Formats: sequence, structure tokens, C-alpha cells
Amino acid sequence: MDIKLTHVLVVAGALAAAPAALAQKWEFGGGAGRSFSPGNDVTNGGATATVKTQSNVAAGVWLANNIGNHWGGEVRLDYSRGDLQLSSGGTQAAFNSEAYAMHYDFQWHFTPASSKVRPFVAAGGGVKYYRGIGTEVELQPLSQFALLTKTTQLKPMASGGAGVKFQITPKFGFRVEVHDFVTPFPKDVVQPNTGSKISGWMQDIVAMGGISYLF
Amino acid sequence: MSVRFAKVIAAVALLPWAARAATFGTVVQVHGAVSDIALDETRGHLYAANFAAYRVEVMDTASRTLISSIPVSAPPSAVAVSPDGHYLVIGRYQTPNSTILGGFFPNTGGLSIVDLNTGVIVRNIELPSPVLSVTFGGDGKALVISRVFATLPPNAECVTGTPLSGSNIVLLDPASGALQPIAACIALSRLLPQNPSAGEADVLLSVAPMEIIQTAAAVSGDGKTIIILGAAVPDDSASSKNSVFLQYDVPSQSIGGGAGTSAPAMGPRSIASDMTGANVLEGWGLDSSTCLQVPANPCGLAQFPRPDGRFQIGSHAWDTTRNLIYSQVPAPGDGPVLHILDTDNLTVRERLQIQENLAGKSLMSHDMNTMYSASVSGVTIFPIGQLPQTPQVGTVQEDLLFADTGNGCTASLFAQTLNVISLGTAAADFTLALPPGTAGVTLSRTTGTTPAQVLVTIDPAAFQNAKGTTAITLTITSTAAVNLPPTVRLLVNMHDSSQVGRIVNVPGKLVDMLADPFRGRLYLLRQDKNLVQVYDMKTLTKLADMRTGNTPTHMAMTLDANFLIVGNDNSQIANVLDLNKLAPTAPIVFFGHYPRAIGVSYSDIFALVRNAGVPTSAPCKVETPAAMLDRVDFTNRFGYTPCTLDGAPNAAISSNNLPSFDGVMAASADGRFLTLALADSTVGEYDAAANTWVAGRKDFATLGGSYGAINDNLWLAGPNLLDAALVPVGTPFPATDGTPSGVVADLGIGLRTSATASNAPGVLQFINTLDLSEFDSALMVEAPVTHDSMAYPPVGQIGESILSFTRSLAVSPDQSTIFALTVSGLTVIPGNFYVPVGKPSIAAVVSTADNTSPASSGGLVSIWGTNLSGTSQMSGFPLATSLGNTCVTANGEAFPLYFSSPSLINAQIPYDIVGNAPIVVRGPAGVSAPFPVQVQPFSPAVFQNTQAIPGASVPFIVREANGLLATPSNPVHRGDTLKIYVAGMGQTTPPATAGVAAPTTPPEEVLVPPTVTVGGDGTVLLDASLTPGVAGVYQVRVTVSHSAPLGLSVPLTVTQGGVSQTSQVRVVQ
Repeated sequence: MDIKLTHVLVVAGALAAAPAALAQKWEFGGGAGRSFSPGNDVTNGGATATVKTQSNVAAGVWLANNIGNHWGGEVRLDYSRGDLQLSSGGTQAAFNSEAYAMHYDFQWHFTPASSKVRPFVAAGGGVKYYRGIGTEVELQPLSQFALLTKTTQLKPMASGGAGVKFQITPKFGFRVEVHDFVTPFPKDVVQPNTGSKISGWMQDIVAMGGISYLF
Repeated sequence: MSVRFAKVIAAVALLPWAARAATFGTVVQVHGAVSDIALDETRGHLYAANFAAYRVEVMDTASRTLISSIPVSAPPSAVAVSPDGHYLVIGRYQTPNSTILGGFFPNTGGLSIVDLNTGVIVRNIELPSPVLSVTFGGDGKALVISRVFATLPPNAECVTGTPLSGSNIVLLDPASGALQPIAACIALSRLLPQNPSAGEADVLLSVAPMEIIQTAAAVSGDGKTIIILGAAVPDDSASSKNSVFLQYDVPSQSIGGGAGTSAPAMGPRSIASDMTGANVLEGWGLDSSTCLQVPANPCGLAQFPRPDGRFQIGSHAWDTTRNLIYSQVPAPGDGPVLHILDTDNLTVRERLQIQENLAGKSLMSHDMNTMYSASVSGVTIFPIGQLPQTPQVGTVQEDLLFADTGNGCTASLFAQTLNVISLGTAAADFTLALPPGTAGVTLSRTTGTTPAQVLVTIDPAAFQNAKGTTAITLTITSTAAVNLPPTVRLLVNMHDSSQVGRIVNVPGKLVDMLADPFRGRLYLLRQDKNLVQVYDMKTLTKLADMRTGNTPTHMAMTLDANFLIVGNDNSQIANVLDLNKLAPTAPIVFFGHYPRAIGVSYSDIFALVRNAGVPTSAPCKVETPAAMLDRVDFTNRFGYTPCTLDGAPNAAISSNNLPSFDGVMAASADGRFLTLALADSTVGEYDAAANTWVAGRKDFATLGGSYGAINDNLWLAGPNLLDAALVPVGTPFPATDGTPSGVVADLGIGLRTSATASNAPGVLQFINTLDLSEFDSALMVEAPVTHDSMAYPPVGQIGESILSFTRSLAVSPDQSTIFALTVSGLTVIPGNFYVPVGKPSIAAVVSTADNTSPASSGGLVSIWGTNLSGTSQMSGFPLATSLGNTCVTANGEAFPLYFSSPSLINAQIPYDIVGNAPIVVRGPAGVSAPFPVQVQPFSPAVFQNTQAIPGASVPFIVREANGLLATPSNPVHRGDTLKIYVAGMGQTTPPATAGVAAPTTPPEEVLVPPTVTVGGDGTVLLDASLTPGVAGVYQVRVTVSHSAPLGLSVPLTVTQGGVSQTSQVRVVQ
């Protein structure tokens, strides 16, 4: 609980810093794309299963500004939806889920602020809110590995990414980007059963395109 | 004083009426004797020929009164109304001699034609012989039959092409009065006295017109066929057994038919037809022209089983709308009774009391709602259409079986409910009666009004010396009901725990049983309903009823197992039933023969037939055997009689003239050998490979009882073993075993059954095929059927032909189960009945909920042990106190049982038992030693579910949020409402009764409320009560707090009365 609160404060601090750059050019936009999860191993004794979030739609909104000629930053809210999937040896269990990520990313643009085309890289952090929203059943397949649970969980999140911004008109821009969101594994939503272990972090790669209003 | 006297008089006067039962139908009396009737529905009139009064009575059918009469010059013998309602044709018998001499002129007769529009006789036609019948066909012309006066060629019953002057069957055009010759046929009647003053009177005053006329005619429903039944040879006596049957085809104006003999005589002289004339009821026989695959001669589809042959009593009518026959054919010992019968095999559906005997013709109204019958006092009118609204009484149950557990279990089994019902919509009073002197049977009521339930209670003490089944006949009578309800059998079975088998009640007269190893079925032959009943061997549920001929006696399966052939004693057909489709196929027709027993070898099918008197003809030796063996042409479905019983290559050494038709046939397992056994002890053997009967002997005075092949070289007939040549071998089984009943090959050897009496135990024993001795003998719970046990007094025209030989054993294909045809129906016996069964022994008594908690008052317990029960059985609600011959008691009180099996019994402890209560199990093989149990007042235990997660047990806790069991993948959430199923929470308010399903309203709340914690965190108790619809299962509803600890395994504890039990659940946010 304390860790989550710290990260919320970090985000709040970033937002508080934003007014200093208001004299610069601002950007408000939104986009949609698709998320991909590489999956994690769940082991129970000598047996192994894989848990991941199935590829599905993702969307996000952002408010960005230019801090200097190359630096910028944006606060984002990203949403992804995808079934949690547990699979082993041809058997699968699936459970509806969704996630919200709130984060602030610093951006370094390779071209000046006046450029029409601005490739960039981004890095930052925030929190991710996992929700299991599936239908609970008495006997979930592969439940000896993990239990896909109808519950919620907030996790700190690190974010990194890259993309290209295009200024189409003086007021509108377009961007394409890829983000990688990494959190500690949400073990309330995907509960390892007695004797099971889940290794690694939960990683989510989101590719997205979007349009922005420039002001 | 005078007043009291008057009351006595009134009471005495009412007594006969109080005891009198209701009758169906109304009699309109006629001063005289009715010889024929005709219906004029256009005018609402019925014309009754009053033979003795020389007039035709006119009855108004609405008011049922005689309104006028039409005088005629001679005794009217027949009346008929033309189809257009214009003419009434009156047939006149002999003309009276009006001189002082009196009497009648012998060669006279005639027709009077009445114009019904004017009511005047418009034409009189004189004939040279008495008129016997007049019948209109659909063409508007009347077929007139008069007494024969022509000399016919030898052996001819009918000659066509004769001139009018030589014809006694003529066609009348009522409009013109023209007569057209049809044929000269034998159709006789009695002559009225010609010169009574000279003492030549040949008709007694007591002889009714039907005995004089002896001819009946009727028209088919479509008006295209007229059928006639008359006396056939110069024998006009009342006992004539020779009849001629004629069929006149209206469109072609052609006639055909033939003559035959019958014993008894073909009475009543009444005839009825179906819609097309294909099926005809004549006298006491039902003939059909549709039996053969290629129609030829009509066959004897069925016959009334017990006719007395009187000509003047009885009548028939065919209801083509309801496809029923209404008939009175007098049976010995039967009063005036109208039978309602099926049209295919004369199965008796119902018997109705009628006011008086019918006598001659019956007619149905066009709408089939009213039947008019000539009867002894006049005309009886039956409101057939109102029968459903007429009081009729019956019972739901044909039998009530009171089966003892044999081990001293409580007497609660010995009370059963009899449902007395109305067969129609009208209620009826009823009176129940037991045979005089019946002891030990109590009826909760002996009188009442339908519908009613009667509790029949048996006092076991009155039957304690019996070791079998006592059958008691319960009679039902009614003053308002018009029907004669069948009796109900009360079957009281008492036996020792050592007696083997379980009784399955199958009502009715079951005379044969056959196992179908290919389909796992049993075929039971129910003779009183003319049915083959098909049962599944494993579940013993009835799969189908298949209809047979009348009074079926014996069954055999074809070697390919595709067909079941059924022999009948009152049908001249053998039914062929398709066993794959469970449907009838074309029957095998036997002309003049009744196939009573069927034998199937791998090359030939034989039928042991009762001969109706048909002589064999050249080139065979001309004789009239009483019984013979017919071969069956199965492809063309008819039977034929070989001259001898030898195969073609052999000389004639075996006559096909058998001494008795009371016999059976049985085949060896591979169908090569077929043996015949007759009641006079004649036995014969057919070798299908040699195509001839190869052996025949007669070594005993009589034979009867069990028969069958043990193997190719050993047969059992009665108590006698016969070798391959049918020579008796070994020593007959002792008479102390009782009457042999059945034999079957089992486990490679023989298994036989017998009984000393119908209320004694059955004897079941193996036959050692080496030393021919019996071994591994055991007593069955009841006696197998025997000839004597089945031959109880027959009722009316319900057939009964019990063969001297019985087949009462069958074995399942895996030989794990033996089926015996027994007094109550079936007795099912384990194939290993000979293995001694140990006494029951209790190993543990624990709460059924979790299999560990102690027993508690009102709680459900699992009793683990050995030999607890013979079979696995479950009970419905209210829970039985005995299952599978097993009961459980403690402190003398019986436990309601959910389930019993050899190793486990689930029971409910009665609420009033607490503290020290040693439990005793009374099983099929005896009584267990008392098992010490301390019954707790409370012992809450959450039921465990072992089905939801394979290999795991989870507490029976349901989340109300989704109605599913709380499991790791359906975890408890904070704030959830849970329904926890618990046993052992003691008495409730209102008080619960052990074994009775708890009601929904009012809920039976526990007296001491429980507390429930989740991870030590308290919950909110919503309610705790017995679960509606079941017994002994409580449900505790709680709401989990929002501060309950989270975890994969959180303790959930139920506490009541200081006793706690903890389960583990997963709790999430």
C-alpha cells in the first residue's frame, strides 16, 4: 500500500511541474492500438504452465508539452483489455480482465520543436490497475497452477517507449508509438495456487497510433 | 306400535334395492318376443319385430316408448329400413293356418313392404319358405334370406346361378317389389307347428325366436358387404354345431362363403362387422380376411374364450368410431354382462352389468352414441356416448405387495394405500370386501365414494408362520357403478433372511417368460390382457406392451433372434413380433388350428396345435386328431399339417395324431434338437439335421411342470431327466421339492425351481449334469408359478388356458442375475445365490457430512461395514425405514434410510435419540452386533463435496452471488453472503420429523443458533434452518465482513452449542 502511494505522489509531482512549461507548445491527443504480452511461466513441482494477457485492443489519452527544444513530457492514461490466459499442454483457462495505466513519461525528441516530423524516445513511470472481470467457476482448468480471480490490484509500473510525431496542420498532429509497460506480477488477480511459483514481471507492449490537438 | 311396525315393513322392503347394483342401459319392454330390430334415425323410430304378436312395434327413440305398431299377417322374423328411410321391409315367417286346425303352413313365408312416409303396407310378397333375415346394402336393395327349400348338390353349401324359383337368397327392390335371384344356400331354421291339434308341435313355448330363426345378418359400416350366419345342415335343433357363413358383395351382387362346425354351437346368433367387412364378429368368433399377407380365406383372428353356445342369448355391435366391440356372449357362471372388447383380439377392457340378457341383433346409431339391442324382454338401449359420464369404479393398483424384509425390520412396510377411482367423470360409491375369515388385514375404510384412498394394513403376526406369499382377493362392489371392477390382489410376503431374491410385482396372469440375451430383455406373456410385456433386464422397467392373439399360451424366438412367435389358445394365428422394432408383423395363420406352443429349430418351426375339428384329407390318413404338430412356412406365414412326423426321406412311422394338445416344445441351445412334451407324458424329439422326429416315448402316467434343455443330451421334463434319446435317466427329483416349475441352463449346468405350494418358499437348485443330482439348493422368497397357482377361477370372457408345463426361469446374458416367474410377478435372484452371505457387521458410524464428526440427534450418519444390504437402493421422501431388506435401529427405534448398499448405509437418526444408543443393522442375512454410539445433541459438520473438484473435497458452501460452490477458483469475497450446508444441528422450531422432507413454509429454524467466523472474523448470521425438500440437512446463511482476512486457505468455523467444526476457504477482496 505504501509503495502504491509513493508512485501516485510521483505522478502528482510531475503534473504539478507542468505549469512551468505552459508557455511552450501543448499537445492533447488520443490513440488506439493493440497490446501484446510475452507471458510468464508458472511452475508447480515439475509441471509448467504459461500465464499471459491475450493480445487485444488498447487505447490511451495524453497531455504533452515541450519543455525545451528537444525535451518534453506527457502524462498518460492507457487502457488495455485482454483475457488472462493460463495454458499448459493443450489445456487452457481464460478469464476476462482489463488494466489501466496512469503514468508520466519524459520524452526526448530527435528534432527541434519547430520540426514537422519529430521522432522521440520516452521513459517514465506510474501505476497500473489490474481488474479480473471474468465469470468465476467452481473448477477452473489448470487451477493447480494458478487461480484467475475476479478481483483488483494496483501495481507500480515502469514505462518506456519510442515513436514519431507528425505535425499535419498548425493545430493537428499525428503520432505512432510503441510502449513497454512493466509491473511486478499481480498475484491477487493471478493467484499462484499452493505449491506454485510465478517467475518474472508482468510485461505489456502496446503499439498505438493517435492524433493530437496542438495549442 | 303401528308406527314402529310400518318402519319395519319399509326397511324390509328397501333391503333388496339397497343391495342391488346399478346396470347400464334401459329396457323398453315389449309384450311378446323380439326377433329383429331396425333403426329409422330420420324419424327417431326403432322397429321391433314382435314375433309372437304378429306385429312390428314402433318405438320412439327419444322417449323410449312404444308409440304404435304395424300388424302383419304372420310372425315377423326380420325387419330392415332402406338406407333412404323410405321403406320398412318386414320378413314374414310361416303363414298361420286360420282354420280350426291351427298351426302354420310349412312352405310359406313372405315380405311386407311399408312406405314409412305413410305408414301403410304398400306391398305384400309371398314366398315359398319362411324369411330368416332382411338386410339392406348401400345400394338400397335388401338381401332376403329364407329357409332352404332347394336340394343342393352333395357337399355344397351354396349354389349360384339358380333361378328365382330355386333361390332362397334373393335381392329385393323395395320400390318395385322386384326380386332377383342371388343363390341357393343352406340356411336353416325351425319350422313352426304345422298341425298342433295332431300333437305335431315342434316348438315349445319356452323356445325364443332366435332359436327358431337361427340366422343373423348384418351390413358393414360402408354398406358394401352383407354378412350372414346361419345353420348349415339339415339340423334345425337348438344345438346345431354346423353353421354357414356367407358374405354378399353389394357392388358386384356376388355371394361367397362356406360352412363349418363349432363346439359349442356358434351362438349367440348375432353378427357384426367393421367398416369394410374385413373383420367380422360372428357368434363367438372374430374372423378376418386380413390375416394373410395375401388375403385368401378369412382366418380365426380371435374367439370368445368361454362361450356356452346358446343361440338365443347374447348380441354384438361394432363401434367403428371408438374401434371397440360391445358384446354379450354368455360365459358359464356369468350373468347379464356386456363386455367392451378390443377389435383385434377380443381383449376385455371392461365388463358392464346390464339389466337383462340380450337376444339377437344390436344396432349402433349413426353417431355411435347409442346401441339398441334386442333383449329378452324387448329392446335394451345403451347410451354408449354417455358411458364416460356414467359411474364406474376401479382401482389404480391391480396388486398391493406387502413384502417382508425377512429380518425383523419394523412393520411400517405393511401399510399401503389403495386408490379407488372413478373410471369416468362421475363419482361412485364403493364397498370393499375381504374373503370371509381373513385375518391380519385391516382396511381404513370399507365403503366410500370415489376418488378415495384406502389404507390397507397388514399385521405381520397373522402371517408369521408363512414363508412365502399369501394372495388375498379384495373385492370391490358398488351400487351406483355400472361396471364390474376386477378384484385387487393383496400379496403378503413373509420370509426368512436366508431366503433369496427380491420380489418385483408384475400384476396379471403371467404364463410364460423368455429371456432375450441379445437385447438384455425379458418377455413376459400376460394372458389375461393378451400382451407380451417387454422388460429391461437391468432396470426391470417395462419397455413396451405388444399385443397378441386371444389367450396367449407360449412364446419362442426365431433362431436369428429377430422375431418372437406367440402361440394362442383362442386365436387361429400365432403372432410374429419384430423384436428390433417392438412392433407386430404378419401373423402365422393356422386354418382351424389353435397354435398353443411353438418350437423353433434351426431348420424348421413347429406348432403344437389344438384342432378345431378339421379332418386331415388325402393323401394323408383321413382322421380328425385332437392335436397335431403343424409345420410353419415362416416366409408365407401359414401353418400346414404334415401327414406324419417323419422327414421326407423316411417311411411313415410316426403318426401326426397326438394324444393331447396340452404340451410344449423346447429347443436345445443351438436349435438342432427340439423336444416335445405332452401332459400325458408323451415326449418326442426332432433332429433338425435329419429333418425328422427321431425319438418318441411315453414312460410316465402324466407329465407337467418344468421343461427344457440343459444341454443337447440332457432334458428336464417335470421332475424327470431325459437323455439324448429321451430315455429317463437318474432318479426323479423328490416330490418333497414340490411341483417342478422351471428349468434353465446356467453356468454350464442346469438350474431348476419348484414349489410345494403357492404360499410356500420357492426351491432353487442346481442340477449336477454328471451324477444327475441336485445341489446348492436355496429357498426363494416366494413360490414360482405352477399350473395350479395360475388356474384360478376365470372371469367372464377373459381367457384362461394354463398349460401343464411352465417356464419360470431365465438368466441374464452374463449369468449374474436369475429371474423367476413367481406368484407376485418376478423374483430377481443374484446369480451367486449359493454363496453364503455373512451377517452384517458395523465398522464405523460417523456424520455423513464430513465422514468424521460424531453422530448427533437428528443428524445424518454413515454406517460403514460389511454385508449391510443385499443390493444398493435409494429411498424417496418420506424416507423408508427399510431398503434392500435392510433396516437400522437404535433403542428399538427405526432410522429413516437415504441409501443402503452392502458396505454403506446413510440414515437419519431420529430427533428423540440422544446419548447412549447402540446401533443395530438388520441385513438380508441376519442381525449385526450392536455398535456403541454416543449420540450428541449437537455436532455441526459442514457437508463436503467431492464431486466439484476431482480428487479433492471442498466444504459445501455456496456463494449466493453466483449460486456456485465456494472453491479456490470461485473464492469467497468480502461481503459475500454464503449458504453453508451443515448436518447435526439438532431439533428445530417448529419441530422436524426424521425422514420427512423439510417444508419451505414455515422454515424449520434451529433451536440453538450457530456462530460462524471467517479467519476469526465474525460474520452476520442471517438464518439457520433445515433445507426444504430434504431431511436432516441444515443451511446456515451468513454475510462475510469486509474485514475478513484474505488468503488462499482461511479457516471458516461453525460453532453450535459449544461444538465447533472448521473448514478452509479461499477469501479474496
